[in-house]
Amino acid sequence: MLGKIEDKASAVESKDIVVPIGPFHPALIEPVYFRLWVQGERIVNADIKVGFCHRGIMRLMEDRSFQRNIYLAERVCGICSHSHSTAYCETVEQLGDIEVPDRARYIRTLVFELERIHSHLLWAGVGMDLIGFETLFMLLWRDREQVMDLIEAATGNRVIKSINTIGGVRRDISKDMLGKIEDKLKVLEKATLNAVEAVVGDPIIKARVKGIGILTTADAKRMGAVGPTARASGVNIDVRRDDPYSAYNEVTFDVITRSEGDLYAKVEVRLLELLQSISICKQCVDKLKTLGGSIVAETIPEFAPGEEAFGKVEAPRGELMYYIVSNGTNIPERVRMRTPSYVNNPTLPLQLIDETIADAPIIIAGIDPCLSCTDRMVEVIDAKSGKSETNTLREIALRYGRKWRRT
Amino acid sequence: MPSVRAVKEVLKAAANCATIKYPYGPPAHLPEGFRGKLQIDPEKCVACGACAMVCASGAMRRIEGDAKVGVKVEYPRCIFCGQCRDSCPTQAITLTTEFALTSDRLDDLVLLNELEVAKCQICGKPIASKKQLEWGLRRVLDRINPVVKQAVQQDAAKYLNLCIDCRRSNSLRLKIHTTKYV
Amino acid sequence: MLDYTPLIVLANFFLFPGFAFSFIVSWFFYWVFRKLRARLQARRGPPWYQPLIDLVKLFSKETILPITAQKTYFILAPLMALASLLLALILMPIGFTSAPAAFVGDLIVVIYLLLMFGVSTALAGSASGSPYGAIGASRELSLIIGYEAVFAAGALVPALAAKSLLLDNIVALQAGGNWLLVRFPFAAVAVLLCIAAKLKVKPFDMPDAKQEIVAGPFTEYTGPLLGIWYLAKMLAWFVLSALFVDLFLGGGDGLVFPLNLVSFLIKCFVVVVVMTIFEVANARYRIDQAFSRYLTVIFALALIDIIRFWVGSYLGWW
Repeated sequence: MLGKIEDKASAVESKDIVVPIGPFHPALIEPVYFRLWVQGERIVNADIKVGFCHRGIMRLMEDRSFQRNIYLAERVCGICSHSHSTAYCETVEQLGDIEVPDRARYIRTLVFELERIHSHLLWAGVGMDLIGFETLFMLLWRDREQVMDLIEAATGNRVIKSINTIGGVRRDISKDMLGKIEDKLKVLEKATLNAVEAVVGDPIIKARVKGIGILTTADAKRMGAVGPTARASGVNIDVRRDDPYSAYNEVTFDVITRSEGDLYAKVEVRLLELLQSISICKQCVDKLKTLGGSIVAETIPEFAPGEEAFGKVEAPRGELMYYIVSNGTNIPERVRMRTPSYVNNPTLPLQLIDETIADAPIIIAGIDPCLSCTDRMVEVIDAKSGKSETNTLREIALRYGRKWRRT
Repeated sequence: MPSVRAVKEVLKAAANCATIKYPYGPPAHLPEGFRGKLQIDPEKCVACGACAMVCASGAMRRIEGDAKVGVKVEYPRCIFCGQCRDSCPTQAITLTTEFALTSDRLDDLVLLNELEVAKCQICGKPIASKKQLEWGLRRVLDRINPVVKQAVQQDAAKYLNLCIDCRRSNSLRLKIHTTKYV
Repeated sequence: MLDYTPLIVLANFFLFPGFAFSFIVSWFFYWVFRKLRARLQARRGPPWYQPLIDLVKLFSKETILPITAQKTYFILAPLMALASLLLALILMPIGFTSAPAAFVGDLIVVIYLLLMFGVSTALAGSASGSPYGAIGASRELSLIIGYEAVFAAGALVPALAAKSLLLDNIVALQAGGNWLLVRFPFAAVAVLLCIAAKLKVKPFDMPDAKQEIVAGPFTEYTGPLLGIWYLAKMLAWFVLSALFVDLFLGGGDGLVFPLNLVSFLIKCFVVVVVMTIFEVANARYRIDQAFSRYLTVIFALALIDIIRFWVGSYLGWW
């Protein structure tokens, strides 16, 4: 199948070789196919093909009740699982006019920021590994284990946290748990400051990432980049400040931006955001010590037919949007999620051209691609005729006779 | 060449190891609220099927047979969300800290909790488990206004073992209709 | 009269210090490298028998010859690498004062054989017919062009000091604790950094860069052929540190058996530990950065010691 793609594409020059990165590659966490046309070590053209991670979640959601869809939304992505869950719940709460109690909002914010810490530490480790600095990769992930232990103690699982429900959260955080979180946050802050100095101050790392993979401000705005990718290119957007949700209008934090747009700026933005997240967590913990109240709204929501709602959150990778339409029953009519990686991925060919192959993996990792979030459709290429068509998973399943199961 | 700082970091790291010897040693300590393998307490479960209705992945089903009714859990489908635990009216379901669920025998992966079914005395259709009927009655009698408790108990003896259709069609004949209280 | 010489040479090649002895020693050194690297990265590391079970696993699997590969060179390359290492081994004095197959000029032959080890890696990359192999081969060749001159210049300094190209004489010069590391530390550092590149230790492991080009020249190898590569890479740890010990750390120091062998192995162990700390504390260079480093800074180090030698012999320092 891939051979036909290469035949169809017009190479930049006949002497260029095509280096495939993906679908299986040690540099990638999830499958994606980058085609790089190279001359020697220099990349002259790049193309991206996605679709290897498509699971049809949006279609599955149209068959299940709002409550069950929370668990589907969580499983779109493992790293930003709570972001998806919060975005979904926020949107359904908008749809049904449900007011979330204060304590629930703070708990949601606390877990959200803990997830951001874990995601940025994961990214920093993976970035170091791609430069070749395995040691820092292992040590950063050792620090990440502190956060994972915290999340496991607070929510019951490390990755799929399942703490959100429509109208609030399912689990309360007790006083000793708050004390434990506070202690661990102090340890984590020291470890993070150490890691930030180690990464930002190391000369070899600086030599590898400075001036590489530049995304200009104009390009970032034109392609609609979001999240740290855009903030590192001088675009000052952050959903937590511009359109606050949960408890973000009641905590103070800075939005970190840089104007160079290169990989070093992205590293700086993410690591400094880490420190901001720790400060937000501390504020939430302080507030939760004295805040009382229930953790879930007691109203039974009504979803009128034809109602639609938009919900936005700032996932670790950028702005995540959910759009839900209801039809009067407890099963949504349509759920659409616009994930940050979906808009960040197309900026990659712009960043890859005129760089070397050695830098390609770290540039790809620089936008923190989450391919589980990206895939929406599948392109099926007939190996014999070379014809290609784009289908939804449902059409493919119906055509090849698999039974479409309704639970 | 290696910076002095990097070498210092690295030598400090050698002092505390972050990984453990599992599976050649014991696994890490899991916190109490960990969502692991679910267990149904057979003493408490009444096979009402509330868990099967809210199960997000279809792992739990309420199986109704001729002589038995029960709840069946297929562990491979369980996503450890805990909805069943939150919805169970008798708090019979707990999520333990057990996480190693693989097995080469299918029996280990299925949990079936069966109870004797109560059949309608008039039409013979299965209603629910006997335990559920008794439990339901007990709950009502525990919370009811003591003034009407006696009357409710007498009526319940008449209709407890009838299915909903037979109750409706025989309510006047058995004098269990509620308008007599008005 | 039976001529035992061929038998003795064969015994040297296969038993001591050839295949059997170096297999056991390099098993230990490679395991030390992996375990120490793991511990310095805050994780447990493999058990002592890991290199052996890796080899057993590789030799029990199927070799797939890719359609696009040049089959002769694809199969020849790992065998060339293994053979060149073992040959280099019997030309070096291991603990004892003389090498099993010593002859005048054997230092040059050793340098060439170790060059063959690098070239066979590049041959493997270009013979495999995959883009990753091609890039790995080109990086390997660039690296060799970068460090080979420096390696030769640095290895020349002990030869100049001993006024001979015979490794036995270089070792004899340092007998009694008179190590050349003390007299010519700059050349020693230069040679150590070249050995780091031959062993693919960070920051010079870009031909093998797992995250960028899958496995570089070794991407298309599977089964027993990959097992032979694994064996060759394991043996390189012993052979290259043995060379460094002979050139700069005095070899066996002229002691009696078994002390000479023990001291030799301890010194090799120290070199392995130093290499591990290099690996752990560094990121990976890009090929152009490594190339420029070799031809400027590291070459300068080797040159400094050559100049010091000439000046010193003129002024009568040694």
